[in-house]
Amino acid sequence: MAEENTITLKSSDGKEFLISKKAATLSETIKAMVEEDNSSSVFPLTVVDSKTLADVITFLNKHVDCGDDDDKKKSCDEEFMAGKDDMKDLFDLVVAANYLDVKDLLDLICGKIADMMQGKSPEWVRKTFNIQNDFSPEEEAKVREEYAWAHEGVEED
Amino acid sequence: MSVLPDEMWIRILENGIESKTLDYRSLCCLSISCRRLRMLAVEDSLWSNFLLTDFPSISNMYVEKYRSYEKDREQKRLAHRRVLRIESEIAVYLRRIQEIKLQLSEKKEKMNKAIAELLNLRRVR
Repeated sequence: MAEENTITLKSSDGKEFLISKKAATLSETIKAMVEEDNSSSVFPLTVVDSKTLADVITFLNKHVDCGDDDDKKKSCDEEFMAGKDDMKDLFDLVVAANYLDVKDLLDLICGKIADMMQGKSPEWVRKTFNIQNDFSPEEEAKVREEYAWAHEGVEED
Repeated sequence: MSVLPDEMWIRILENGIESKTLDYRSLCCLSISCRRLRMLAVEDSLWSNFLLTDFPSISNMYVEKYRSYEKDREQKRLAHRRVLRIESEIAVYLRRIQEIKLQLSEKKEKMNKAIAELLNLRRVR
């Protein structure tokens, strides 16, 4: 019966997503939930919103289709990441991947964020990650002096 | 920024360093941006990765050092055992010398007695 092989995941904003058990249990967290309570078919994920959950489910389905083919996984991942440049979305995804314990997705998003930070100035980091500079001017000058040796050739955008 | 817990930042940094997208410069820039990132980015374990990739000879050097230290220690141990062996040999020889000296003095005594007896016999005769 189809129902036995699928479960429903409910996002924090109450949207329901149908997903195969096989894909869903790539998430260690969902796997544990299903094992603990195999009579239920609806699992609420209180910290993942529907936009993020839709992305996670796309990822999980792609990975189930790829099986153990690493090359295929790699091109799937590239396809999945294409156009994902919004920092808030990436942060949401990384938090969700961590909560759902999906190692491949977590590594993928962490790698993407690290890529974005490559060779960027402190100003870019602050602006992009919405970071409040909490150093006093004196402290900042001191810290900058400390790292002056590393400071040539950094993009100032 | 505030939505991301520290462990996620550490994971991002580790991931970037492992895949070599983040270098020492990127870590320095993160350190300058705010207190929290500075605290995370100065973590020794992150920097030791650079050290090992940039100076593999350092890690080899320590391995070499340890090996030569072990070799040294083994040699010292062997030398020490040789010394002990020789010392015990000396002790044995010394004891033998003592015994020989004792025998010698016993024999001397016997000889002196024999001489005295001979002299007595001659006198008697």
